[in-house]
Amino acid sequence: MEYSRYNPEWNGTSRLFQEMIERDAMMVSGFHELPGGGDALLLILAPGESYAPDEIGLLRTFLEEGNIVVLVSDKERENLLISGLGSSIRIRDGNLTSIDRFFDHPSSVLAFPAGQDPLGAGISRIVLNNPSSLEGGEPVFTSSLLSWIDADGDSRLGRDETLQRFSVIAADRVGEGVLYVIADPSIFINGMDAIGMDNENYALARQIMSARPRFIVEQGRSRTAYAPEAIRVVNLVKDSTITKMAVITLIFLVGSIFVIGRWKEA
Amino acid sequence: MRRLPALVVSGILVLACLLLIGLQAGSPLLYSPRSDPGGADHSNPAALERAREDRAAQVLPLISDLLDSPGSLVLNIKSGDFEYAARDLQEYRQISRSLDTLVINLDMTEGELNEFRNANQQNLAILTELFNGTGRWNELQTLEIRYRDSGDSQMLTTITYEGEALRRRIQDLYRDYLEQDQVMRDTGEKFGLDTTGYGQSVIDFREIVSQIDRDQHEKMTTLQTTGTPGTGPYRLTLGIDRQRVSYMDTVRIEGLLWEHKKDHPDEVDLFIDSRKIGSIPTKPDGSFSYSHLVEHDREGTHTVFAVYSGSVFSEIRTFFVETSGTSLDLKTPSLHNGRVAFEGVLLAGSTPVRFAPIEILAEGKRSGTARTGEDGKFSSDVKLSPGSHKVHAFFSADTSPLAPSESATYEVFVPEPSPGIAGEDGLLANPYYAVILAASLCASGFGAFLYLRRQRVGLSPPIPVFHLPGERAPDGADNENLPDLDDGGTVTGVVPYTGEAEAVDTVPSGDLSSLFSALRMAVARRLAFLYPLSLTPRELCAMCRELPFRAEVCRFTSGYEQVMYSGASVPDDERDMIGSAARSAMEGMGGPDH
Repeated sequence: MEYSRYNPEWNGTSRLFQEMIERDAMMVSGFHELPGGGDALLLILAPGESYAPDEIGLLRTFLEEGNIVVLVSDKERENLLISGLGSSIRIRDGNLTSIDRFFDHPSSVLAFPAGQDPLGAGISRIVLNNPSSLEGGEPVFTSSLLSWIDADGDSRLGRDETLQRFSVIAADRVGEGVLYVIADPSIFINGMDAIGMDNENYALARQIMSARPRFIVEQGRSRTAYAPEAIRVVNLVKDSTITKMAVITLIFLVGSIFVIGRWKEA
Repeated sequence: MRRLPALVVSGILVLACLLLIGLQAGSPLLYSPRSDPGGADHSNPAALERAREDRAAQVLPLISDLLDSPGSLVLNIKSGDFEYAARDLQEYRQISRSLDTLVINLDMTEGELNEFRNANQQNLAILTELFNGTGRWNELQTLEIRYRDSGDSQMLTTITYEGEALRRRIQDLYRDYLEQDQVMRDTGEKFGLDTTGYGQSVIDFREIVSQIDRDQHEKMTTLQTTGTPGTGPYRLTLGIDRQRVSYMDTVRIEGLLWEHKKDHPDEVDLFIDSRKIGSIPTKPDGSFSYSHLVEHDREGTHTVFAVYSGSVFSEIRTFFVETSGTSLDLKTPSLHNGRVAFEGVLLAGSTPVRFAPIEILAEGKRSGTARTGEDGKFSSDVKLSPGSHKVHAFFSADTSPLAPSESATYEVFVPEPSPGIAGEDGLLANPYYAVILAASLCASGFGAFLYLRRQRVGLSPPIPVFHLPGERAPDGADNENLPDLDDGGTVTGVVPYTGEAEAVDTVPSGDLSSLFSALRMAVARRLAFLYPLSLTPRELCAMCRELPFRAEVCRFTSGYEQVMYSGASVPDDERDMIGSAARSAMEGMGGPDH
């Protein structure tokens, strides 16, 4: 249930998806459903598995047409997808740690805008939660200089660990489009509400949602689409009018049998 | 018998509830965000505390200040403005202390920031000594003028020799200052800070050294040309066997007093770094010797000279103390009574380092101290908070020509102290405990007995007593047992007993309500049913299913229902027939006693 849109707990993304639905986001289960034209932004949040080469090809075509793709992942596995899209950005699944932190925990790294990318406009900082780091591309958000990769996992700056800025959001132009990579999907979980009223992580999310006229969310491989069986059934009912009618009829039938039985007994 | 399974189930449920409560009694908190701190992907923000603001924001300004401070300080020393230099030094010391605190608070006692901090600490020590040394140098300048004017050649020689020791010391300080240069500038440049001020401090320091070197050289030349010690045949000569020594080496200093009168005991005063280390007696031939153990001498050049009778000076000799590497071996820490025991040994090569301070660090913070013994071994018991700790030992001593060293790091786990009775003596170890326990059990048992007894008395069912309607109940014990209603009256419709059959006989056939009441009481009494007034006609019929007069009772209740609830008028003969059914039933019961 990590990252699941149906999970209202701290590690779900129900609040983010509620806002997406309010903004009429289009949910796609595969890249073949992507619309034509160059006015869309596709969000791929926390992919759960790798994409096949033909899917990557479809995505690259979509990107090169002038659309925007925002990939939010902290797994090096996604480097296959990124390189397949023709980008030089690479995810480094290190244990990024910083002195500049929001919570008193090494994983609560603060990142600050770098450069003039419109994605970071008006946002003074974002709060990460156990992020990876990025190499390549144009940095959009970076950690402060007092950051390091905690290779030995002791949460402390060691002798062989070097202080430097690490890119956590990077952009790369591919054809006519732009690929953004965000190295931490946890910035959008429900629990990040705890960072306060002026939640700049959500400001970033809203920036992403409104960057293009059409906002599309990938739901085929994303961990956000995961739902337990009970919720799947509910969704199935909710999504189809015929199923809704069938369920209502069934309920009436069962109710009628019960009432008639009681009546006869009396 | 049917109550037994219900009692068993209730008992099991009660025990289960008590067990569940007991399991949670130790730590009653069932859920908190801290019990769900998160996994590999993320931490639960609700379980985290907000970081103190602006801790990190202080780091870069502090580093910037520490790069700037030496520039102003060294410039003021160079220009001889010691009042401002003292103020600069005080500020520099405060900023350095702030950095030390911050580095510890940020848990950055290793790595680049800590390297900068160490280099800065060295610089602070160097510049403090430079401040004191140049201050003394200025005093010597003043004294020189005074002694020269008064023609006191001995004192002039003394301060010239002291100046020589000072010159060599300041040269060493400059060399040490240069050693920190790279770390300081690299850190500043990495953080994008201006290092111009620090660079200028190096230049100014060099000029101070050059100036002192020139002045001292001139003084020594003057001293030699005036014919006082240093020129011509020495009346007191001095020699050193080794020029370069290291920790625990012995410097052999030998000399000869030429003006010595045979068989006349004499003494010469020996000075190392212008500090008198003792008076050495001469032998009959005027020779003397002294062995100096290199243990608490700093790294660098040291000057030696001897003085006889306060007026005869030897020439100045020097030796150089080199830094020796050390190794700090720490055994695997062990846990004893909640404290962590550390043992180890500190060696310089194969030589034990004696009486050296050792720090025990947990997560980079000092948790305990120890001091080595004669054999270089040390031990310390340190109390650490419960949890896992990364610990190591660290040695550093500014007063010895020894390089700092640290041991391997060990991970130790300190368990939580056992709460509750587990950590106490046995429950029955103290006889008072046993007495209290027994008294508690007795009191509980007695209380339970009283409660049950009272409960039984209060709940004992009244013996149903039958009275005919309209007839006053006889005085006596029967009336005393009548249960009270909520309004304080007696039970409505109760038939005072005069013999059930007779009572029913006296009831008019048309008064079916009274007949029903009487029959209900009689049946309840027969079946020992506690609450007869709650019975409906159908329930009365159902209760009699095992009784031989069931048919009569049910015939009566059926007719009674029809008369009472149908609303239709019932002929008298039919009423009589219903009444006769009641009477038959009562006869079937055979009276109140059997």
